[in-house]
Order: sequence, then structure tokens, then C-alpha cells
Amino acid sequence: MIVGRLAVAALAAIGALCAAFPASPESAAGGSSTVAMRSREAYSQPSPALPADRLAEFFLGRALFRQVWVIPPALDSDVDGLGPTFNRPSCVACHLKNGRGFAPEAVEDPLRAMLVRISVPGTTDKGAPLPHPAYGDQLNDAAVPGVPREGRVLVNWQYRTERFADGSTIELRKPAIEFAQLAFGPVGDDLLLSPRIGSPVFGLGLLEAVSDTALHAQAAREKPDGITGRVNLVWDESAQQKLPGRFGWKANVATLRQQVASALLGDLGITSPVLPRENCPPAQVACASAVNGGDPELNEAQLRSMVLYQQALAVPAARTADDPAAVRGRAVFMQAGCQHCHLPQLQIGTHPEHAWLSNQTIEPYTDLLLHDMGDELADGRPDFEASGRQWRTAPLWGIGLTKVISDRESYLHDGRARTLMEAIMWHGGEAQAARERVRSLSASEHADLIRFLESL
Amino acid sequence: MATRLRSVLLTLLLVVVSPAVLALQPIVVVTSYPQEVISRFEDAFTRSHPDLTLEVIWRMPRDAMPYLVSEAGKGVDVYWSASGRNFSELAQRGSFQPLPEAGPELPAQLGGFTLSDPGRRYVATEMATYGFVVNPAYLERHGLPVPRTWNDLRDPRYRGHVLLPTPSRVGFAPLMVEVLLQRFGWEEGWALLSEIAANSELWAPGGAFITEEVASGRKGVAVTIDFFASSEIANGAPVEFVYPDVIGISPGHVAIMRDSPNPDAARRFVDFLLSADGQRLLAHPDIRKLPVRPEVYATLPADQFNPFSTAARSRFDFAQAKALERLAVDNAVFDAMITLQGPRHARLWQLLHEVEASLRSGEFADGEEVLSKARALALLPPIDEAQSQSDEVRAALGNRAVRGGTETPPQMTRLQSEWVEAVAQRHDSAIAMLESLLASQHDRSAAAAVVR
Ligand code: HEC
Ligand code: HEC
Repeated sequence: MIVGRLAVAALAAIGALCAAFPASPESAAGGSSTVAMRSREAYSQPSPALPADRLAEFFLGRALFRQVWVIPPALDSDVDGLGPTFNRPSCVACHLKNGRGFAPEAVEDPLRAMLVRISVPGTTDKGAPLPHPAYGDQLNDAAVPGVPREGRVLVNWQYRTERFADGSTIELRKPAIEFAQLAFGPVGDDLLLSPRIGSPVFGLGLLEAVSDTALHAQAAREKPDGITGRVNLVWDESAQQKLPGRFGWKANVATLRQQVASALLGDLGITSPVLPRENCPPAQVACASAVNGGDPELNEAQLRSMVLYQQALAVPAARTADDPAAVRGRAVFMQAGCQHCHLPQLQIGTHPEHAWLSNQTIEPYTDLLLHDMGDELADGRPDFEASGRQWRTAPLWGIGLTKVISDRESYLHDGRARTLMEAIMWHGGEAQAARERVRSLSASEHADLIRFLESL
Repeated sequence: MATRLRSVLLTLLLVVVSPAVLALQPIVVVTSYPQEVISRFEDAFTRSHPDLTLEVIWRMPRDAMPYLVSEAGKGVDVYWSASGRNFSELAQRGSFQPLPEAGPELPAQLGGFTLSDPGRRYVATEMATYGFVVNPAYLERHGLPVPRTWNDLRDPRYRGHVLLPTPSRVGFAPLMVEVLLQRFGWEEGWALLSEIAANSELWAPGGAFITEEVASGRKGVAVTIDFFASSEIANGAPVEFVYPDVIGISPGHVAIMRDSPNPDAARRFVDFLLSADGQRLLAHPDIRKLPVRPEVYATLPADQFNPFSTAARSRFDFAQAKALERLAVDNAVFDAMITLQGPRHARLWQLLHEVEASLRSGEFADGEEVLSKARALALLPPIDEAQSQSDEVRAALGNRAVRGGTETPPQMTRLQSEWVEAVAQRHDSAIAMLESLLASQHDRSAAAAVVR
């Protein structure tokens, strides 16, 4: 009964809230999963295409995504299981309002919406980065009482100035990562590390529906400016095979089920049917003997609801057409050659579970492929097929709402860029030609380009 | 690339860590505030106190209580939460250490409500009030005025347009019920609630999402605590919040644990929460709690509701201790009188309103007496005020005010089933009276029609 009621309510909600402005066909960024909304809740709407009888499950997933998890044992047995080691106690901590995370400003600030992946050279039998024997594949800088945290991460910023052709300048900053208070001895000098901020989490069901063939075809397509593009092939626990990667800054995860399960385990320390064993490397004795919150801590129905939540979050419509500067900026975007990676349109295929996501055109501004982005962005840590210099083209849909929704701006995998222009000026490698074209533009062309990105 | 990699690693190996960073002192805080609140306070606090760091342990109030009094609780410095009951119980157990005296800039009372413990064992850091979230477009569409007072919601025109939280299922609602009972009196308070419930759909899925139901246009009005609604409004929802004639004050508190391993740092956290900077954070669109430091309102947007300037309006002396002790009793009464009567309650009110309408149009003169008898039967709570405070009743019902969303409902106590039964009988006889009145009236007018 409650189910029905919620369902009707949410459907009506979409109707009412979307009356804000009429969606022009041009602005259907997420196809039928688009909402014409630019408020602080614009990343948080259920897709209008989500069948009404799935809304209750979507809302359950939402509640779990917002849940601050509880250290076991606890009376709230549905939501206990945090740790033993973890990064943050909730998904929203790193994906506030379903938006992106950020890097700490000062060296003494802890990571609040960011994590550092770690590994040692080599790969597992599945082709994954080889976890560090004492610290695993991600430094957990928090732990439940009685269990040592693995260590602390310190971010030092190094600054430099770039000059545009017209003589104006822009200050860029780059993080240098240090570890402190390591609980299980030094990390060793062959450690590979990759700092990453939480990425926005809307529109992902649509990206899951991009077909493998489309990915391979796009990779094979001839592109200018020395641009290539590689499909990452990554191990998927549920499928028990390698699949094309779509999610994460290096396209290092293939499915949302895998992504949610590994976030649960890696970031919160919560076991699930996909990853049922606590994340305690052999050296971490207290971790291994800590009380857990069930076996697994998250049940299948809960996991499914969280996956559905990620699949069904709608994409905010772009507003380019309303703004002449943005329209001019789109032309600049095309002339600079950005669209060879940030594909304005993608035809998606059949979603493996949901017909309502399938077979439509979307405007994600990504090809989901890996590109060599040059020395300056390189993390030097291979991730399946992705080299230490390669990153997945970041989707640009909804990026114009970053400041409104996240109260701050932070772009690129490690949150180093504080403005969209900084993000562009870090582009190197295959994107160097595009960046150099931007460098030579006039101030007004720069302004138009940014206005275009802000209209997305 | 090789050089790049080496330089990253080099920085790593050197680990030139400033001593200040390594000397960071942890403050262990137990809280049940949502992540939005925690994140913003963490961020602002550690920025202004770079030598300190917060370790947050999240527990719902009913889970926090056993934790704080357990061995593990000895590691906790600060309890920071909106759970008046836990604070008062822990204070009685001597679990807190007293906080320094505050000056007049932090009033301990507001509009007859106690904000901070007179013994300074715990102090208010934020407030919330009760009221109505309304969808003006919906109301206009249905030709309904915006309700301004609690009595307005008794108007049968609102039938089917209102959402009322079930106090045994929605965390904020028990205290709201108690505010109304104390303000209007035990019997009149239940009459009010019963009649509002007759116009309402009862809402159980938790307080956080009640506003969405109104924003979506499914209902025109919901009775709620203000911050859920204000936050949605600040985030763009097409609704308004009405502060009615009685708003109540529900404070959230902070206390330092007696065994706090780090009391000096804990005090700095408390000071921050109470400082102008800390108080201003409460106005963030994702938080929208009311500051307890009156001067802060001057720095907030003009449309910010200020309870300090309106409190006098609805002033009455709220007996906090009495309230906290009887929340479980109130919930049981509400369920016996309303929730568990289901369609019977609705039918009764439909008949009452029907007869009232006929009376107003002057159709039958002998109806007055029947109506007032039926009304009295409908409105009478299963127990009187004295019983509500008796030890037996409290003992029979336990003291857990709200069941968690996932917890299986406890067996109804024998006492509660007796109440349900008694109310059902009263309702049935009122229904019978009203039905026969209407039937006789019907016969009479039919006869009149034949004569004519
Ligand atoms: C400590 C911060 C942190 C927490 C907590 C966290 N995430 Fe993430 N999330 C990230 C980072 C960082 C990435 C990018 C991962 C990568 O590149 O490998 C990410 C990526 C994702 C993605 C993929 C987005 C994309 O566009 O590819 C999803 C989905 C996601 N997270 C879901 C969750 C869920 C569900 C939870 C809670 C169970 C969660 N996250 C908790 C930091 C976090
Ligand atoms: C060769 C492919 C390629 C080209 C060409 C390219 N980009 Fe990118 N872009 C990427 C990749 C890959 C990333 C993610 C890099 C990272 O996170 O380190 C990215 C990230 C971004 C981001 C930050 C997104 C976020 O979520 O943080 C912006 C903004 C951006 N690109 C804009 C542009 C613009 C404008 C142009 C044209 C001037 C352009 N890009 C050209 C591949 C490309």
C-alpha cells in the first residue's frame, strides 16, 4: 500500500517539479531520463521513465545511499556494518547531493570526499592492480574504535602558472600525496597510488546501456589530432568475466552492481552478496577479528535497491539554446576539437535489465574510452588495461550545476582544478592539440566556451 | 613518465609531515545528525581548529543510549544530537560533565520551552518547530485557503488534502503531539488531533520525505517539523511553510561526557557549535535548523523565521519532563484512538460532518442533542490526563517512543487493546446514533415530499 502511494507521489513530483521550464528536444541530455531542472536537487531526481512500480525500491536505495552507517553491533541491524576500516561512513559523504567530491584545501585537512587507490607493480590473476600486502588496494584512513586506521593522507599543493596567448595567466595546482601515521609499517618504495575524488553519480544507467560494440567501434574510429581511445576490460565479480569498463575515472568498473558493491566494501567496509568478505589484509589482525554486522552486512534486496537508485537517477537538461553566449561557446568547443573525446551524442543499446533505459540517444559528452592525457595528469598506476597515463573521458552532462549543487567546484580525477578553465588547461597527451587551441583563443571566446560548459 | 612517477614516489618517501599535523587531537563525537549536517560542521570546525580532528560515530538515538553507557562509550567525548529524552536520561545518570555558564547571549528558555538544562549538563545548539508545509498551487486548485492555525485543519473542507505523521512511526511527531496536548489541554488536544486526523491520511515512512508528498502535489498540506520543509524549499521545492499559532520548540543538544578522554578539545567543539560562526551554518539550505544565538538572525536573510521575535505570541509553559515521560503513552493513545480504528474513525467523522452540515442548513431541529452526544463520544480519549501520568500506565507501555522503520512492532499490550476496544465501542455507538438520526431525517423528508 505504501508502495503505491509513494509511487504515485513521486510521479506527480516529477510532473510538478519539471514544470519549471519546458524541455526542448535539444536539451534531452539523458533521453527519456531527463529532468528539466536546475535547482540543488537536479542530480537527485528519479528518471521520469522509471516505471511507477519501481519507485518504492528507488526510494529504499536512496535511503541507503544517504544512510550514515552504524558500527556493529547495533539495534539498527539493517544499517550496521561500517568498517572495520573505511573511508567515510556514508555514500553521500563523497557524493553529496549525488554530485562530485573534492580535495582538501590545507595539508592538515583530512580527505572528506576523496580516496587514494594503492597497489604494487604487477596484476592479480584477474588482471586487477596488485593490492599492497599490508594496506590492500585503497588506503582506509578511518576505522572503528579498537581497530587501527591504516594511515592518514596528506595533500600538499604545488602551484604553477600557465599563460594564454593573449598574455593573461591562470594559476594551476597539483597535489603531492603523502602518507602519515601508517599503522603497518612503511608502504615501500614501489608503491603506486592514485588519488581520486568521488564522481557524480547520475545518468549512470544510461551509460550502462552503451553497447560493447558501440564502445569498440568508437575506439576503432579514425580521429584527428592523434586521438585514439581504448576500451578498458575489467573483471566483474557477478559476471565472473572481463567486461568493458564504464565507471570510475579509469573506466575501471564494468557494471553498477560491481561499482556499488566495491564502493560498499572499499569505501565503507560493508560486505554484500557480491563481495562477502571484509576488507582486512593479512597484516591487519584487529581488523579481521572485529565484530561484523551480518554475513553479509548488506542483503541482496538492499544491494539491488542501491543499484537501481544509481541506474535511475535522471540527467538534468542542458540549457544551451537559451543563452546566445553558450551557443557561441558550443561552436568554440567543436572548433577546439573537444568533441572527439567528449562525444556530444551517443546512441545507446539495450540495457541488460531495464527496457525503459534502452535504445535512445543521449548527450553525455563522453566516449567512455581511455585516453593518454599526458605526464601532468598521469598517476603512474595502471588499472586493468588503463595505463598510468590514461583516463576515461569524463562525462560533461550536468557539469554546469557543480557550483549550485556542491557549493564549490572541483574537477578532474583528483579535484585539482578549481575552475572549468583550469580543468581544460591540464589536458595534455591526446588532448594537447585541443588545449593549445584553447590557449590561443581570445578572452571572449574563453568566456563563451565556459558559458557553454555551464549550460550543460 | 618515469621521472614523473619517481617524483611522486620521492615525495612519498620523504614524508615531510609538519608536526602539527601529526599532533592532531581527535574528538570522538556520537551523533544522529544526517551526513549533510555532519559534513558541514566537520569542515568548518576543522578549518578553524587545525589542531583538532573529529571522529564521528553515528547512532540513532535508541542505539546511542546503550552505546554511551557501555564500556565503548568511555571513549566518547561529546554527545551531539536531537534527542531530548536521551539527554535528560543521561544527565540523570550523571553521564555528563557540567558546561561553563553561558551569558545572556544564549537564552536557556524560549516561549516557555526549556532550551538548555538549568544544571548546564547539556545545552541547546539548534532548534526546530512544528507547522504546516503547504502547496499553494494545490490549495488554489482545490479552492482551499492556506491554513494558519491548528484549528483551521479541523475544517472538513480539508478532508483528504492533509498528511499527518503517525507519532509512533515518525521520530519528530511524539513531541509535537505533546506540545499540542499541553497547549490545548488533554481532552481538547485529543479532540483537535482526532478531528485533524479525520481530514488526513496518516503518514508512516519517516519524516524526511513528507514534504515531497506536498511538493509533488499529491496532498495540499502536511503537518511536519520545519527543517525538512525549509530545506526542501531552499533547494527549490514549490512549497511554503506556515508557522501556525502553536509552533513548539524542539531543541537539539550537546554535552560533554563525564569520562571524556579529551575534555579540553571537547569544550572547544562545544564552543564552536555555539559560536556565531557555528550557528550561522545552521542556515545552510541542506540544514535549516534554527540558531539558538539570537544575534545571529540579524546576519541571516530577511525571510528567515526568527522564533525569538515570535515566541511571545504563542507563549505557554511547556513541562518538558512531563512530556518526555509520557511520549510512549501519547503514541499508544493516538494509535488506539485513531490509527487502529482505521475506517471506523473515518466513517464516524464523515457522519458527524454530514449531520453538522444539515444542522447548519436548518433541516432538523432535534439533531443538536444527538450531535453533541456523538461528538463527545468521538472525541473522548481512552484515558484521562491523570491516568496518562500514572506509573501503572507508563509501566505497561514501556518508554520507547518511536519504533525504528525496520523494527517489528511490539505486541500490543493488553492495556492498549483494552483502549482500542473501548474506543471502538464508543465510536460504534456514536455511528449508530448518527445513522439513525440521518435515517429518521431521511424518512421525514421523504414523507414531506409525498405530502407535497
Ligand atoms: C571515500 C569517498 C567515497 C565514498 C564513501 C563512496 N564513493 Fe563512490 N566514488 C568515489 C570515487 C573516488 C569514485 C571514482 C572511483 C574510481 O575512479 O575508481 C567513485 C565512483 C562511484 C561511482 C561511479 C561513478 C561514475 O561516473 O563512474 C558510483 C556509482 C559510486 N561511486 C557509488 C557509490 C556508492 C553507492 C557509495 C556508497 C556505498 C559510494 N559510492 C561511496 C568515492 C566514494
Ligand atoms: C583526448 C580526449 C579529450 C579531449 C580532446 C578533451 N578532453 Fe576533456 N577530458 C578528457 C579526459 C580523459 C578527462 C578526465 C581527466 C582526468 O580526470 O584526469 C577530461 C576532463 C575534462 C573536464 C573535467 C571533467 C570533470 O568531471 O572533472 C572538462 C571540463 C573537460 N574535460 C573539458 C574539455 C574541453 C572544453 C575540451 C576541449 C578544449 C576537452 N575537454 C578536450 C578527455 C579529453
